[in-house]
Amino acid sequence: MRGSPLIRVLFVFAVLALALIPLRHLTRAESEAKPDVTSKAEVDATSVHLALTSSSVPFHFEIRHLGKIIWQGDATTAEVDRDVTLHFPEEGIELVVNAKWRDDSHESALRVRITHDNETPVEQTLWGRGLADDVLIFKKP
Amino acid sequence: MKTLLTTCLIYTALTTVPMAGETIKVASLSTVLAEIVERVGGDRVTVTALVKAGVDPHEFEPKPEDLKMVAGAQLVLASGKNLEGYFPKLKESAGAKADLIAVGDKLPSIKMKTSDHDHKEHAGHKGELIEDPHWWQSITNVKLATKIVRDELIKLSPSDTEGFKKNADAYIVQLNALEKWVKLKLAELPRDRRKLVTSHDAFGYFANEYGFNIYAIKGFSSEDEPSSKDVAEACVLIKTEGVKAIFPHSMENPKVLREITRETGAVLGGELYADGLGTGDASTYEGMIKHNVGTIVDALK
Repeated sequence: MRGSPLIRVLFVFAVLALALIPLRHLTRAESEAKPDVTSKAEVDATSVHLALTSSSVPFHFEIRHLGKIIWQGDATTAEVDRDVTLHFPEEGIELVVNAKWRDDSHESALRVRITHDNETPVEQTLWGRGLADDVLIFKKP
Repeated sequence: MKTLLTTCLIYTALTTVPMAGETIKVASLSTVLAEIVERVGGDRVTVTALVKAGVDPHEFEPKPEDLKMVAGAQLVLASGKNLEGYFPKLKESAGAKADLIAVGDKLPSIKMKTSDHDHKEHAGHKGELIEDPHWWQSITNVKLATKIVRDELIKLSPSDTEGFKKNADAYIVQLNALEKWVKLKLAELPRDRRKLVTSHDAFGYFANEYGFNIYAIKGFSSEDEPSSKDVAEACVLIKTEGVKAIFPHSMENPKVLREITRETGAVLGGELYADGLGTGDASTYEGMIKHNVGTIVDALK
C-alpha cells in the first residue's frame, strides 16, 4: 500500500479498534450469562407466618435463617407472631432459635410454629433453663 | 494336670492383663480409633497407629513389622464392617493374647452399592448392596465407638474404671459440642442445596444424619479411562440437580474433572477427608469434621 507510514499505522489502529467492539460485547455477555444462584432463592421466597409461644415471660428471642437474623426481640407476652419472607423448599427449612428467659429457676419452653401457604402449621419446641438454643427443622406437612 | 492348668491361667493373665504401673499396649488400624483410645486411655495406654494419617485404609496391607506389633499388643482396634480384608491374617498373628475388636461391627450400618471400581475388599457384583464401612463420618457413631473402647479398656484394667469413664465422658462432651457446631454451620446451607457430588462414596452416614443426597459419580480415579457416556451422564446429573460444586477425591483424573466443570459450570469444591484423619488442621477428629463441613457449606452456599 502506498502512502504515509503514519496513515498506515492509523489505519491498522482503526481496524483493531473496530474489532474491539464485538469482542467487548462478547466478554460482557459471558460474565452476565451465569446467573447468581442465590437470586433463585430470593425469587422463590414466600411469606410464612411465625408464631412463638413461651411458657415463661418475659423472654428474649432471636431467629436466624441461612445465617441471617430474620426476627428478634424482647417479649412481655407469652405469644408473639409475625410474617417473614423466606425460601421454603420441599426439603424443608432450618431455623436457629435462641431464647433467654429472666426466670431461670425452672425449665421453660418456647414453641415455634410456622404456617406456610395456608397449609397445616408445623411446630417444634425448644426447652431450657434460663436459656436455650438449637437448630429446629421444619418440613412441609 | 491341675498344676499345668493353673500355670496356663497365670501365664495368660500375665500376658494379657497389664501389671500395675504398666500401660496397656494398643495397636490401631484406624486413625479415628487411635484418637479415641488415646483420649479415653490417657496415660494408661501406649497406642501405635498402624494406619497413619493420610494413608488410605482401603489400600493398607500390614507388613511383617506390623504383625509383630499386633502380636505384642493387648488390644487391637479395627474399623470393621469388612474394611480390613486382612483381618483374619491379623487374628492369626495376634494369637490368643490380644483382644481384636472390629469396632464398626458393633455400630449401626447403612448400605451402599458397589460399583465397577470399588476397592478390592468390597469386591462384589456391580450394584450389589454392601455395608458402608465409613461409620466415622457420623458423630453419633463416634460417640458409640468411644463407649465401646472405654468398655474394652475397663475389661483389660478394671482398676482404672473410674479414670476411663471420666475420660470417655469428657470426650463425649467435646463430641456433643462438635455436633452442635455442625448443625449450626449446616443451617447456613438451604436444604434444597444439600447435594454432594463425589467420586468416593464415603459420606453416606453424614448424608443420613444431615439431610444430604449423595451422587457418587463412577470411574473418575486417575487409573480409569471413563467413557464419554459416563462423563455425559455425570454432566446431566450435575446440571439437572443444579449442583454448584463437586468434591473430588485426591486421586481424581484431572482431565475428566476439567471437562465436567467446563461443561456444567460447577466448580471444584475442595478436598474432603473421607477415610480418616489428615494432617494439619485435620489431624484431629474435630478438625477433620470441621474441615469437611466448612468446605461443603462454603462451596454449595
